[in-house]
Amino acid sequence: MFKQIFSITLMNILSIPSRWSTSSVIIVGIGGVVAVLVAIFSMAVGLNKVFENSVDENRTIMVRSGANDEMSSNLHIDDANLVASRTFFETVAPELYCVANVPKKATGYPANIVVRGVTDASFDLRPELRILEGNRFTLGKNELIVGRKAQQEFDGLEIGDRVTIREVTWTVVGYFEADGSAIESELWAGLTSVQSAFRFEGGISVVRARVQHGMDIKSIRTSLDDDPRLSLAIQTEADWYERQASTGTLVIRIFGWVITIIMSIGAIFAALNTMYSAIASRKYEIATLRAIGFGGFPVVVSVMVEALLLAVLGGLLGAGIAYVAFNGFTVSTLNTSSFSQIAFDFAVTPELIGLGLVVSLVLGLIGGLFPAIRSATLPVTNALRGE
Amino acid sequence: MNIFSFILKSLFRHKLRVTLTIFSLTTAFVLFILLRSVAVVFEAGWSGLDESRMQTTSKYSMIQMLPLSYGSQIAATDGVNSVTHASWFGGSFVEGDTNVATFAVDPDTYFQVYNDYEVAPDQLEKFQSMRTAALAPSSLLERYGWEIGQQIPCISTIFPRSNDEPWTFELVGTYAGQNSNTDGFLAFLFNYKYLHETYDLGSVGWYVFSIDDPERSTEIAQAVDSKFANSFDETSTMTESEGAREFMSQWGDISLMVTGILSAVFFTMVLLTMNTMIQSYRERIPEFAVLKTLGFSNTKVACFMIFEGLLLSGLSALLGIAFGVIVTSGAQEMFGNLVFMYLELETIIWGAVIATVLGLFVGIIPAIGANRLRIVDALHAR
Amino acid sequence: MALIALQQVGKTYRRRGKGQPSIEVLKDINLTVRKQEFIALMGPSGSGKTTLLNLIGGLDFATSGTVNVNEIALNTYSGKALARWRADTIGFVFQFYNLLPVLTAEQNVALPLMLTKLGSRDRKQHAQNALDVVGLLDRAKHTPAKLSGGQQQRVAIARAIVADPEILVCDEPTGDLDRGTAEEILSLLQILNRDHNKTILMVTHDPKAAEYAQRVVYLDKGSLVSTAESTNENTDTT
Repeated sequence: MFKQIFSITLMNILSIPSRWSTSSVIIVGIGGVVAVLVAIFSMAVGLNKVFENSVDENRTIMVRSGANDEMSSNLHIDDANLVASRTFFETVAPELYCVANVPKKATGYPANIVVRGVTDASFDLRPELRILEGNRFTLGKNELIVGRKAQQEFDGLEIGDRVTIREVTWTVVGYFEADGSAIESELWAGLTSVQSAFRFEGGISVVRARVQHGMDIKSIRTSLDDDPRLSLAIQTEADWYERQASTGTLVIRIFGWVITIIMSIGAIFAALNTMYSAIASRKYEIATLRAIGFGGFPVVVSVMVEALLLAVLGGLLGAGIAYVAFNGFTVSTLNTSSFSQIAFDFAVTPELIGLGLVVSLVLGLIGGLFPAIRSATLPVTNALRGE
Repeated sequence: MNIFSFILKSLFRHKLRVTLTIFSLTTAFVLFILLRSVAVVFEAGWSGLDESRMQTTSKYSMIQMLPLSYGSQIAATDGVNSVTHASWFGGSFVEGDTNVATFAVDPDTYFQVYNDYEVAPDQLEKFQSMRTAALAPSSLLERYGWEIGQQIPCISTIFPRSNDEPWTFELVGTYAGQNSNTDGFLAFLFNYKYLHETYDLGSVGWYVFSIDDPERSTEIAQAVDSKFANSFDETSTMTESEGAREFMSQWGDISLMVTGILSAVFFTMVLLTMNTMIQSYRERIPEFAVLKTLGFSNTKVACFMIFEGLLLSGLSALLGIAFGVIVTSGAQEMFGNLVFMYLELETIIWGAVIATVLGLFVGIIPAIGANRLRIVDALHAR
Repeated sequence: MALIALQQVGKTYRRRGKGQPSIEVLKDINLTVRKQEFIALMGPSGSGKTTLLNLIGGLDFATSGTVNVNEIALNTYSGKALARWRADTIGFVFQFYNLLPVLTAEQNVALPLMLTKLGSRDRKQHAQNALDVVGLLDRAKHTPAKLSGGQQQRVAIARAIVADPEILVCDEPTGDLDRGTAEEILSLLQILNRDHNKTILMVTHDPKAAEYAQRVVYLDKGSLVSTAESTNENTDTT
């Protein structure tokens, strides 16, 4: 039995090159599906990564209770001082989140960009933030540093450039990166400078803090809620970002699946075509094998193996194209919570390539099954006579 | 038998193969209709935006508010008709469902500026006289199962009330745009006075005004913006369609992405279809020789192949566009709260144009082959 | 008067690639065919029979000499005009029938009429008449796959005569048929020759088939070797 399967399958596979043009149909069809699938999903993965990267589990964010995002949260610097007096926090960083308008390179239209007013504590809190070029702004001066992605996406943010935001002129003094996270799309400046430029003296948006190791977020929450002077909601950064990312990536994922499913239907028809013509061109051969005593099952297996082999070739081709064309490709979109731009890189991860190959196998399986069954049930005598 | 049925018969010589090919090409057209319906929204090319309507927003950020006092100054600008204002409220009616636009508007002037919106006079009167009144497009009533007269609780992330209490509006009626397709873009409107009094607010989100002469829009925009230049709240004025385009462009080049995806899809499907056509041509080489022997000219025989390609692509387009329309309406139902879609006639026309070009394209190689075929060689090629 | 006149006709095929010798398939052929003649072309494989037939049928051009039909040299026609001329003047019958498998017998027969100005009803009528002549009117709606070899060849003959051409060109019309069926087809050709005034040129291997012709022309290695009146009593001329 296994010997039969092996010999027929081998014979099949060796004959693929002679049927190259029909075989290529299945490869191209499935390759196309996988390329589109991987490309779209690499977008969702990339967008997610922006919000996931290097999040320290002890990092928390506090916003005014009821606020869903940093933009709509407004607090006072006194709140930060009250928070800092609590012993369970290590580093407490008040941050003011404002939005400015800078022309985008791609469209020429001004688009919103986040300006974050920070103190040294914000740098301490984010060890992943590294100055790439230039240096940090000097507190008290109208200087700012630019995230790597903001610099790529927006015009006029080179070191030494002057940017006018709200009648105040700022000088770009450095670039920074932060493991590809969301803050790479931002401009950072001194808290007090931002407060006065945006006329929010004393105002802040959020307080970020690292809790002491081993502290339970629930008990901290209760403790903060009990303080009548504070109206804060605390959560871990991980939870916070998960909510921020969800809508955008959900939309991309839904569309990714809708497109994949529709395209897959097309590819299945193409695969059926390939495999039906493959067995049609081997009709005599199959009938001859059957006539000299080979069973139907080895023939089915051989057709299935051929279909799956071609499908995987297509899957690899598609995933390869998606990887070469899109991995690391940067785009930016609107962060609906703040109406500001957020840039991210397409990320073709091994998991995605795996997903692409699984899809290609499923398509190959469906595309090969019906022709395989037909090949095995073909009446031998008719096929030999060429009917 | 006429030429058409002859070509139809020739095309369906291998029924299974051609049917499978048509189905796979069909999916390309389904995706075309679906994805273009998403892309047109981001291109802000949908109808219903009036060139004679302009908007004034904060120069710095769309979500930055403007002083309430700007209204009368805009109204005093030469060429400006009526002025109204609206404010983004960030309301949601169901926990987590933030994808519905909620605007606090001036009830007395809003429908003067948006004079193409339809609202029943008695409902408008209620809207203007009641502090807590609200109007909604009928699509929202369907979505949430509201009825007119109902009290509607609403949570705002921008204007929260103390103790996280919801705001409560009374739905006094519905309004509609000229084009029912754009209903999904209409906002939930409520009386600005309610927000103003509760929050003691001295500012509004943006101003909208109508102008007499759309030709003068650039000049008027400059006139308005110059009034507020060098103040803390500088403005940016443009026509509503420009504004929509600018806002939509911030989502990124969705249009380009859609074009990219569709190119990949069509590229794949064209290769597959061409393969079928060439395969079918090769098998029929002796038949083409017979046709030529019988006196069909080279051009005629080539035309048969071209028409077969057109027919194949045309049938796929017909099926694909029909399914595409169904899938798009279905997607609108299912994901309407996440993504806007707008199916326009132009998309369907473009589908037909693509089908024609594609049909010519897949037929061209076999047609050239059939044209050049030498009878003497081909007749015995069996 | 000569309907077909070949004068010093030669046909040479150039082989692909440099330095390859070209092949002379026909050389110096002189042949005259009168109206309403029934001629059999015989000779061993590769003697140039089919090539000669192709030249007369306007499927190919001679490399030297002239092929005149109705006193017009075929090489003066453009490709398009020649196609037109074939449709009007020549009916073709092939060894393997060459019917289009997707069409019914009637539609196959009507195919050449699509090149005429006839309306669809007239085309149908003409096709049925032609099928009647070959005795297959009752099989009009059948596709070739449902017909026997002899029946398919009759349909092919009906297709050849439907546009009422002057000349029938038949390439081994009985080559794929058994003896009995072959005789039926040959009798049919004879009737067409005698009663419908068709001039017939037929390539054949089979001396028995050649007996149905009035004259037999022998070819060998591209040259005409002899021409003889048929001896068969079937072939009494009218």
